[in-house]
Amino acid sequence: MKRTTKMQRRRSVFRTTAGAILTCLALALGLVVSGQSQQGTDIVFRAMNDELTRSMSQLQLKELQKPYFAQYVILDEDEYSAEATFGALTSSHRSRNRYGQTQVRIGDYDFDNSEFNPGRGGSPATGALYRTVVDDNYAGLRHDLWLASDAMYKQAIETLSQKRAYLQNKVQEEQPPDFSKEKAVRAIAQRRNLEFDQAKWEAQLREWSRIFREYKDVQTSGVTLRARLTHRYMVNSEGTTTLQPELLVSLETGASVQAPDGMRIGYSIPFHARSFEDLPSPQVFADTIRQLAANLTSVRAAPVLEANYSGPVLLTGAASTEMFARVLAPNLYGQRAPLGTRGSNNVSDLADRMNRPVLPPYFTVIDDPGQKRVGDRFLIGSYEIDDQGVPAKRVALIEDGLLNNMLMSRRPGQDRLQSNGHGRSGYPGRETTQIGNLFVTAKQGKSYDELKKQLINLAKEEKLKYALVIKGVSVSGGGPVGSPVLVYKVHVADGREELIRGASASGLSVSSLRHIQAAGKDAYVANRLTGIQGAETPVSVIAPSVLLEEMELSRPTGAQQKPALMTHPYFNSLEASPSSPSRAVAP
Amino acid sequence: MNQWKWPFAVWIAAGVLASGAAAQKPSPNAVIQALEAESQRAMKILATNDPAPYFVGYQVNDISTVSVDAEGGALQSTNEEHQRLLDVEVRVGDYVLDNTHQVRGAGGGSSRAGSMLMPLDDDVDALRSVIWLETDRRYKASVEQLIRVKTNRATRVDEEDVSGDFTVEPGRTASMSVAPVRPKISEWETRARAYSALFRQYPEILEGTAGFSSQVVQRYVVNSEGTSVQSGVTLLRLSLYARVRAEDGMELYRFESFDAHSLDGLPDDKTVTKTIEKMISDLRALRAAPVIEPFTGPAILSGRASGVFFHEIFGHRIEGSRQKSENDGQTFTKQINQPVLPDFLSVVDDPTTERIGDTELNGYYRYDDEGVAAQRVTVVENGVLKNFLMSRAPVAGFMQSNGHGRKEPGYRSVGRQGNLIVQASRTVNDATLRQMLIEEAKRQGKTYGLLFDDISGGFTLTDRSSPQAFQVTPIMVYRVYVDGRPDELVRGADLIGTPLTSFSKIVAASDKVDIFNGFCGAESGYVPVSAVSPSILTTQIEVQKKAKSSDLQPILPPPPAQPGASS
Repeated sequence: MKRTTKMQRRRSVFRTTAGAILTCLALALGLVVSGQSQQGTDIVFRAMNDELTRSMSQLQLKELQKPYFAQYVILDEDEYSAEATFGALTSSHRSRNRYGQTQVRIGDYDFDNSEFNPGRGGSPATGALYRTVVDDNYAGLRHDLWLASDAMYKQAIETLSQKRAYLQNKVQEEQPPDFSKEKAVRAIAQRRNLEFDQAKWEAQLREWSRIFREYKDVQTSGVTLRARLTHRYMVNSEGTTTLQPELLVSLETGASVQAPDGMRIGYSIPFHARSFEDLPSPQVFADTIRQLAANLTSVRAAPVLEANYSGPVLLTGAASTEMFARVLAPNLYGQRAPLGTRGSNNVSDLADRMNRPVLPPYFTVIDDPGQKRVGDRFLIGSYEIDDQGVPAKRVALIEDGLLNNMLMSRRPGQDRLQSNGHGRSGYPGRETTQIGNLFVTAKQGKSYDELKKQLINLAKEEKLKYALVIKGVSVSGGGPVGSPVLVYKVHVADGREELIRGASASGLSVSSLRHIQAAGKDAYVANRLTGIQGAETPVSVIAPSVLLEEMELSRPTGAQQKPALMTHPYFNSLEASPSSPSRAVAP
Repeated sequence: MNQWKWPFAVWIAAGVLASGAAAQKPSPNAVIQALEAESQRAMKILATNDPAPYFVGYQVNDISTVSVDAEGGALQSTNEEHQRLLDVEVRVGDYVLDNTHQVRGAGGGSSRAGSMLMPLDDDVDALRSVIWLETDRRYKASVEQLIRVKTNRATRVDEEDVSGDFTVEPGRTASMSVAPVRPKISEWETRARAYSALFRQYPEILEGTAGFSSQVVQRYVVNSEGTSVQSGVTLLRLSLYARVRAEDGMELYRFESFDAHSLDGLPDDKTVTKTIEKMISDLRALRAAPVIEPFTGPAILSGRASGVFFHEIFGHRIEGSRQKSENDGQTFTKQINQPVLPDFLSVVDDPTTERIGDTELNGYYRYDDEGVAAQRVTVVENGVLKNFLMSRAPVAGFMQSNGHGRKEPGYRSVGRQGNLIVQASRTVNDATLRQMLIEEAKRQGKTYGLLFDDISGGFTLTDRSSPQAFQVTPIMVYRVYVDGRPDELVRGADLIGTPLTSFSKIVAASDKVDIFNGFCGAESGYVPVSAVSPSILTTQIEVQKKAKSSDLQPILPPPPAQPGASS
């Protein structure tokens, strides 16, 4: 792509200059100073700080209050994505955008315009997102910050008065403060460039996607590569200044088949990493594709789950990590619900179970964003400072099965007034609490065979002829484990494993995790993305296989689409004249 | 701006039309090859099913886009994209009754079906791997829909229009690929920065943007009737936008755009600078202008305002599909050969006119989205309605498409406007028209008449991938006083009225015409269009105050442009 080449050229010139200066200075003074890139960083922060100072001291409407806190974020995103199917590229896109997020708080830490849900479609956020300029242009950046601060200040005034009015006729319960006080942090990293050999990667995507030409039962298939380099410039009125470049690279393959009865089955396998080097090698990824295609071919021919199942289920690999990410993690967040919120929306189901068992006593759960690797696997959920400028802390959440602590952002909860550095992205002004690297470990872990034996015993007690093992899931879709793809019946009579299709999982509450029957001695590392599409937060979950006492899997309901009336033209022509498959016009 | 003499241009256009439909042998092309192979295969294989398809049609839009946007002197974004989008249509039943037939009581709405992403590489196997499954899917959906159609017919009263569902057209082949456009992106970035910086000199301008975009569309239409047409369009645009806020909170904006089919057609720096200066002076004047009071009385609509006025209240009512849909108002359905406009007005829609004077028209194309050659259609001749803008959906008495089947990728074609051209056989010069306005106002006992100098359709504001609202909002409106006082700019007007009444009140037209290039959104998505018209005088128009925001001015003055300077 022309633009990419141009941008890379321009940037690499900058880098060379910076590199040269850096080398000289480093030799002379032993200091790390950069050239052009540092100048750009300085301009961005200068514009942010100047307008922040002015807002804090002068932003005032008549006799109303000035802000007590303001925070500016400039989110610079350099993104690339490409996709290929059946040997050809279907898209290739590079884009660079900058968004501003401006947050203004009025009142004080105890009571301000946040933590209030006015209902009637009103926005509870204390900040707004807008597009700003990608040039390091002082005037342009500051102009946008000025207008956004003005709008946010006025909105904050209005929200605070609505919040006071709301409380006028309510019996006041004791409320925790609205915003936690934290120490100022200053951490400015060097800017980075999104650099990679685009032509080489696109050739590789074509080649990988061509592998599906070996699998005649696969109807649709594709390989996708995405890279997102973000620079998050953040300043707040407490003196925090941070810049942390973050690269996220995702390589994914997905395909679908249609069974003879018309059922469509899709399966996708993503790899997320913090650098291109951490992605699987071409050979390993090619093997993954072949494995995925072969698995789908088997699933297509497998029998359907003939009756709804309720009973013991063994989750291995991604099925287990997905379950912990979906069922347990959201309940480890300690913030309270904003005023005016109806129902238990946004509040942990474990809020009242502090110091009580939530998992069997042999389980320990820790969130440790500081740990970068497990074996040779890089953990994408690692970070040093969270999106609110608070240093990440290791938090022991569950010890010996007892709930010990919660993950906190700057939104306090009952009895938990400080952040522990888990305020990660979300809508501006409404950073959500999020896991980083969630480690679920179990003492007395068992081998797969032992777990399987125990599964059979449980099935026997339940008078079941078979139990189920879920070994592979697609991370898409709802439900407690995503979309199960590789589901096996384990027959009680002879221990035989039989692949089935069409089972969908439902109904698993966090309270049922106390009744986990056993855990494996394995530790599956899942790098996954969570949150808003296009701006996901990278997290890692590390967990052993688990044997659940009871889980529900439903058989397919409703009529299936009829199978395709036509056959895939490529394999059709292969069958018609095996000696001359249809020729490809060279790209 | 953009003045020309219409009779000359239109005759030239008619000359182009005569040779425009000439068939050319298409050269072998991977996309065409893949589409033809799959259309033939689908017709053959699906023929054994009941009901069998009688038509399989494909359209591939190969779209290369470049866009550059700057605000206040700094770059906001640069985008470059290449996409190939596949739309599949499978019809079951027959030309008289098929799955596209209106299901009464089911409501109308958009015909969006979505597009499939196609390989960008010219790899026939890979291209076909996407086409076949979508064909299969669409066939099944059509079979299901035909059952609904038949049930609906059986359980409801007879329909008024029994003209059938699809016109019979000959297969056509043509190969007219569009030359690629390679804008110098860095030059566009520099210019966009420089243009947008001009707005920043004025603190009351809260936002000022400049953007370039180019879109080259290679369009392939292949169907089972033997049509295999490769055509395309090139759209280049420079757009300028600025907004201010009046003391009472009212948001006011000016939008100007320049459209062209080639890089050479875009304006030079001098023209752009002049336009920006005019936008700035307009905005400063608007900010200080009084708010309009509700008014009924005579008005002049300038050429651009009149063009949009005709596009909206007339053009959409002569689109073919609206004559048939029983959900539609059908203002003109039964008015063929009846007078619908004053006898000095004629209206043509002519997509084959590429330019008028120096201005390249947005609604220019050679083949429509159904592979039918574009035709110049005389809709109104001397005030008498003659024809409709037809896609391949027939209307009683109009059993042939006239090349107006248009759509955005992902939608189903319906009859749409291309270049709507209003012509007057009796004209006066601008000074006389103005005098006539004053006389008319006096006659009605008014102290002033109105002059609508510019109208802004919401469609001109953003590119088509954004969510867009559609409205007719006059921007520059003046009171022209009968007592000879200078004209007075007013703000906050909304133009209202009913179509038939409005047409009957048009009494005169000017000898100058103007061009409005824009994008029009309707049930088949957004399509580029032009509206061309002389200024017109109408004896009665109604305006009302438009809704306004109550937001305050910014509390602080704009920040300084340099660090350290005082604000």
